[in-house]
Amino acid sequence: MAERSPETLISVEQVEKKFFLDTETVDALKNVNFTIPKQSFSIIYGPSGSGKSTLLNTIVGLEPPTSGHVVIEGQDLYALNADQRANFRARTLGMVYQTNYWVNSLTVLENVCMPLFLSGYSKKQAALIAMESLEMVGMTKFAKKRPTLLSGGQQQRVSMARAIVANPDLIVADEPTGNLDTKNGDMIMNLLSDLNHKLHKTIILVTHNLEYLSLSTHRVQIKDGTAAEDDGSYGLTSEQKKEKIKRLQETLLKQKNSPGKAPTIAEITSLLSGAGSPAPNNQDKTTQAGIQVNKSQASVDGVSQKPKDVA
Amino acid sequence: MNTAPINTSAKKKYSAKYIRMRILLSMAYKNLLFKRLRTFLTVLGVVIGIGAIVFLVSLGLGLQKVVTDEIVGSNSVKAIDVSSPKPKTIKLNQDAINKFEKYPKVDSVAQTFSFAGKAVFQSSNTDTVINGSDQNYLDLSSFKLVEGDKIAIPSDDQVIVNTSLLKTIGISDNAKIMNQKIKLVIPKEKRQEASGNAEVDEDFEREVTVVGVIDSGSGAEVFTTDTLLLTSGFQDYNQVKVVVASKEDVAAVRKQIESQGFLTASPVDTLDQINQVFTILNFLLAGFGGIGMVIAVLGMFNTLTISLLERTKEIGLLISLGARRKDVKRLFIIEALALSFMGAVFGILTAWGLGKAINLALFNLAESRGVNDTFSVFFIPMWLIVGILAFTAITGLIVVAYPARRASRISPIDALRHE
Repeated sequence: MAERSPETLISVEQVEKKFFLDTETVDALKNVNFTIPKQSFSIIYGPSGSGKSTLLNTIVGLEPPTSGHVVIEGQDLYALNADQRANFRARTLGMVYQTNYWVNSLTVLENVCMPLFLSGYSKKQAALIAMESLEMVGMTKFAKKRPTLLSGGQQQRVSMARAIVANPDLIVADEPTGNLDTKNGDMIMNLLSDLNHKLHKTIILVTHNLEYLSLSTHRVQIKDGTAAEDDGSYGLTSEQKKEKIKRLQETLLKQKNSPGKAPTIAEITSLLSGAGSPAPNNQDKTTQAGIQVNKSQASVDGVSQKPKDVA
Repeated sequence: MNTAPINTSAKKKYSAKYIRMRILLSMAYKNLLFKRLRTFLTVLGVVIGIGAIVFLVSLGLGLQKVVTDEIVGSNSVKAIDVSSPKPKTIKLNQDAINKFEKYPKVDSVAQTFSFAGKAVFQSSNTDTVINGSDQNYLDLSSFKLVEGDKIAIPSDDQVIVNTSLLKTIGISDNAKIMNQKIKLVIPKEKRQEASGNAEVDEDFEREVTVVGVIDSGSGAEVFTTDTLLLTSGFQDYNQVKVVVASKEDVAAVRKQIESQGFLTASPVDTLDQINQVFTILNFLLAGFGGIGMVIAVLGMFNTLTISLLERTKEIGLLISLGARRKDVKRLFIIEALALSFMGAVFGILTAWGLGKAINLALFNLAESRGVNDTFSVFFIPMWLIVGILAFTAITGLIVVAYPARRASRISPIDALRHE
């Protein structure tokens, strides 16, 4: 059972969610307990259909649990009514989705303004702040365009700007790189990482893909509707870990042939700590992405890795 | 990359609670503009529907106004025509008039004699009705003056004739008869009857000067003073007009007069009948226009429903970003009201413009046929404009009720589910 402490931002307590389909009952979440520490980079991961999305929707106040509590900074989220939860989302939460959703009749700038609009800002006030947000993601020159005219990567950057515009303490990203190529995906991850490191935002990243696990300071694994907080070793035996390191090293050697991709020892170490995937067939992809991510990490002082876990 | 921290102080300072109405209005506006062809077609539908109703109803009201103004405009609505069903026993004489004058709410009493007689001018003569009317009676009768200064007979040896009389005696230029002398003849039988004196043995004859020509109908008529006939022994009036203070007093005074055994008639009777007919006509016309409106409403419903389906994700997004369901509902309501309001305003303007154009064409046509009166067969009163605006607003609200309700119930989870 998760303990609430002053360092806890979100505490998910005994959350159960059942869906009733005709005669059948589906247990989407079964007695889920975990905490998200403040200013952590938390990754909720697990295979498709494991209940990640349901859990995410529950955390952001969109999906009331059948039983249990979601406590955010001492406030039981579901003690609030739907409109209060909506207001809570507008003020304290930034969301990034896999697919980009826009109010199609509005410009990029107006779309970024939306969370501010929803908490009562005037157009002028909102536009000033939104421009700052767009500047952070380097998209100011697209401010007057319609978002649907932008490329996937550009859209996702605007989506990031929208997520941070209301200066929320918490940013929730649901498979944000799912539809992006590696380059754009890494860029989004860099942004998230920067937000975590420089602006001390709490990040919750939901993914079924383990490429970016190395960025995390906190991990929650979802499997068949149950959650487990893990320390980064993902339940591997020391034998398995050794095997994994060996495989990674081989992969990295291959990578050396690619120009500009030579990994440093530090990168390999950090890669090993985070990029362990229980699925071997994911190995190549994981490694490649991991290197790039770690480069970005190096530029932002690195994430608190635990090399000793690997060793 | 610029990672300067966001200025939080400004935000806290301005922080209000929920989305501002102005922003909802602007969002609705932008969405309608975004789908401008669809918006245009939907509004066009409402314009046609509202335009048809306003056009047809204003035509009905305009015609009604033309007709009723004709009656109300001449003072005569306040006058009650009194006659006797049995002149021999129930006499409409000076005594009766004195009695009428004492009734409450009665302003004045006007009287007239009318007899069949002859008018002789030079070598031609014709049968005519000879009226002996007091000035009050002339004022109440809405005759049209053709020649002369005004409809008045200053002395007993002056008369006014009508155009029909001139036609029968062969005078085409109305001005020619002015200040000419004609002879009036009332046969002795009529005199005996009217005076109740069987010993009267000669016709009434009098040479008089014509001081005016009026248009009073198709029958030949001469108007002389009532005093001329009174002094000549005529006693019972054929018709008396009792004038009351206002249109509303007509009914009560009529009752009193009828209780004395007299017959009464009032233009109010006609007015009521005319208004009844026009009320039915107006409803029929509004009904025809209403068919267009029904189609327009269906079009609006269609537009809003499609808009809802198209924007499911958008609404899901808004809710997940923190919009209240109320805000989503409002957005739809604003859009529907904007559609219907634009339709109503342009519909009214279209109907007004069309009415003006047709009226101008009719007027030109009438002018070419020699009618110089200005008239308007289209009439859009203020209450119609206000009523139409209210009607479209209510219609808009009814039409949007279902889509707005559905929009506000969209589950953001379902709406934003990955494909």
